[in-house]
Amino acid sequence: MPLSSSPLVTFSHVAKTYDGAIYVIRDLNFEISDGEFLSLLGPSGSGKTTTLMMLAGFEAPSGGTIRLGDRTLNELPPHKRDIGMVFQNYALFPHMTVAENIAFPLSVRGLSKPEQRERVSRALDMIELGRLGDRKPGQLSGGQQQRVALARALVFEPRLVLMDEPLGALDKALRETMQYEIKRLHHRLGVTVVYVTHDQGEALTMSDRVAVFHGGAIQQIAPPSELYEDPANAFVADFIGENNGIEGEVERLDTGYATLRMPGGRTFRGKAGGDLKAGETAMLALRPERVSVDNGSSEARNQLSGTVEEIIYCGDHRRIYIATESARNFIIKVPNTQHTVLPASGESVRVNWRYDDCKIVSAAQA
Amino acid sequence: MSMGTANGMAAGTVEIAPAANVSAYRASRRRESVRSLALALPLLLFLLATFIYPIGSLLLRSVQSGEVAAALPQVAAALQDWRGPDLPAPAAFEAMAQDIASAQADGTLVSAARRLNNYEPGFRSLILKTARRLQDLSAGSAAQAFADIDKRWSEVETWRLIQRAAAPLTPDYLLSAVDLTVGPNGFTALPADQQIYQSAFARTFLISGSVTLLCLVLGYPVAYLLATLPTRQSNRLMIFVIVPFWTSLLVRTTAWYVLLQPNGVVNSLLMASGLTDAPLSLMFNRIGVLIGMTHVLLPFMILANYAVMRGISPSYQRAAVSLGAHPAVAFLRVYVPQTLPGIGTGAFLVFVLALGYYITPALLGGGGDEMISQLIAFQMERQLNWGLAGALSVYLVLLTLAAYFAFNHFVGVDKLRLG
Repeated sequence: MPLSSSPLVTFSHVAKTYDGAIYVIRDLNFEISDGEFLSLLGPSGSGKTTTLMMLAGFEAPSGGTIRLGDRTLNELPPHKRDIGMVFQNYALFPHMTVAENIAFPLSVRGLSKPEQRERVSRALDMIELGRLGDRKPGQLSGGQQQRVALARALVFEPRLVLMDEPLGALDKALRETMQYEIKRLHHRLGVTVVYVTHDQGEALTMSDRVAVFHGGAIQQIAPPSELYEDPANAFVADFIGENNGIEGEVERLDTGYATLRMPGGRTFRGKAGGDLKAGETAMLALRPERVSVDNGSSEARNQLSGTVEEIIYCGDHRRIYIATESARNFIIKVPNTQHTVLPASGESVRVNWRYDDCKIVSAAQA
Repeated sequence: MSMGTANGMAAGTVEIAPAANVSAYRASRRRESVRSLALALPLLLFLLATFIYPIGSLLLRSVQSGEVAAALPQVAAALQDWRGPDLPAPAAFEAMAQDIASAQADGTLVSAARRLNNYEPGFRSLILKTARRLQDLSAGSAAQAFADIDKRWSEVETWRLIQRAAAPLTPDYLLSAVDLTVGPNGFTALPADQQIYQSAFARTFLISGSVTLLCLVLGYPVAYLLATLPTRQSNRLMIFVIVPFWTSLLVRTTAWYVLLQPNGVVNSLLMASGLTDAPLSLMFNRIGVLIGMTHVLLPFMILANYAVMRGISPSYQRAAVSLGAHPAVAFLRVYVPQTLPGIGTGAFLVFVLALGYYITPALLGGGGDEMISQLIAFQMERQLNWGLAGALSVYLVLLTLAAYFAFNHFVGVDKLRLG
């Protein structure tokens, strides 16, 4: 979707430490555009939830500034920020009915009773739970509770909605339905969403952009396809999707390409990532589905030989594990098309891939 | 299971278990319940012998009135059909003379006299005087002889009281426990200067209610602190709640007895710090009772609320704040309503325990602070009026039950959380 050019949220030089020594967030700089769906993705302890909590106002930054529109948020208490929030366990108030839960943000803002009723009934229609307004949250299913939590965070029409692993407690099928539901609401309402998750599939399918967190810093912030096709460093390449990572020394850099030398003397050529210097350690990042086992065409290709250790049938594709001199667990994904000739287990094979299908990335993290 | 059953299940039909299986299932359930009963039986027997039977018999005493009928059986029979307003037939006087003689011989006369004395002060001496004097007389009409001994024997009221006392069941104790009596025209209130029990019940309620309120005001914030601190710190603080809870009630009350004395620790500190010039009277009055009982009962309030608060996720308040509620509003509208089961449980426990309090008000209270259990003890130990003690206990039990049903109605016993 088209993003407006003015940033809604700006993080500049934001840092967070609890003890003055260990920084859980180091020098965070990024912007969120109005109407954007941004996911914060990372393993636990990477700083993504801390970032969200600083934006919500439940944690104060130790340094730097956070701006929402033209206001600096640092000193603004959370209840004055007008930011909707959906919690992991929904946090629906158990002693209130569904309608009272949704009316809560309206009633604390002093809206008249008729207006509250009007807005609550619109919100209930929006989440298609129109007739369940009199139930208590405990009488609803997980998916229904999740929708009520969404409606409650949206009913006061905030410009920004934060979601902290909102689908973590749901089973897989329901999670996919709710992903679609959230996307639909995002499109319809044009609200800006910041979505914390540790599920990369969720992040890739829902987001306009994904910020990959690790070690208290953003490793890469980019649209999903760019993260996958063009990872900024070894961590992102390994964290997003499957990756054959082969470490070596940068031998040569030329016009957008780099050559990586393995300890055994073999060299690979691929697109060059940023921050590469000749003589330094780097990693070859290669997606398993980009590797061919048949003999390559005339194009310039990287070559590797090894022994097939195991073939696993996965329905729409097969995974072939190959032991090579350079990489112990080299994986190939072969799509399950009709005329694939597969090697047998224990057989020696030569595999190859195009220069443009792999990337030489810095082993250092941001 | 037979082959046919297995096929039936494969076909997806609803299975009806064979009768043999049902009876085997029932037998196993029966064995289970016999086993449970056997495990609980020793305790049940113990409770029956030491708890349920004595309490039940004390409560029954509130309506029993066997002393007079046992000591004066012939009188009871002679007065059975007497309705007044004339004096009873001469036969009743003769029966009285014989009964008094035989009752004095077997020693039951004193308890009958004491029972009659409950109705009318002076009755005991009347009976005993009569018994002494009757030995000297032998001839003449019994009625005349009685009239000579004391003119009260010629009054209808005297005989009416004896008739009432001779009935096997009596409402008298239950009435006098609420300052009522049976007059010639049905129930009447006792004269104002003789009323003590209604005001004692009201006082018991007032003290229990005040203690409950004090415990809530003091205990709720502490419970909140304990529930929201990190586990290590809250465990450390919890010791300060638990240790007094485990300490003997008597020890704690005696400690307050020492602390609150006119030249005790509290007063010395107050005077040394210049807050007061003269010692405050902190004991033998209502203040002492409230301080002592609140301190003793506070752990119940704290623990009941802590148990509920510990289960409330902090994310509720965060959610309320993120939705625009001021933290104080979030606390009042989102947190406090969720702690109502804890408040209800704590208040119920403290109130019901306070209703029956005895040692603390007895040691720390003054003349105007007797609670109902002190009056019950007084009737049992000093007055030996077990009937009245039983009647007061009946009302105490009823009030406790009323508190229970009120609690059940407003909070729900299924929400009772004790840890």
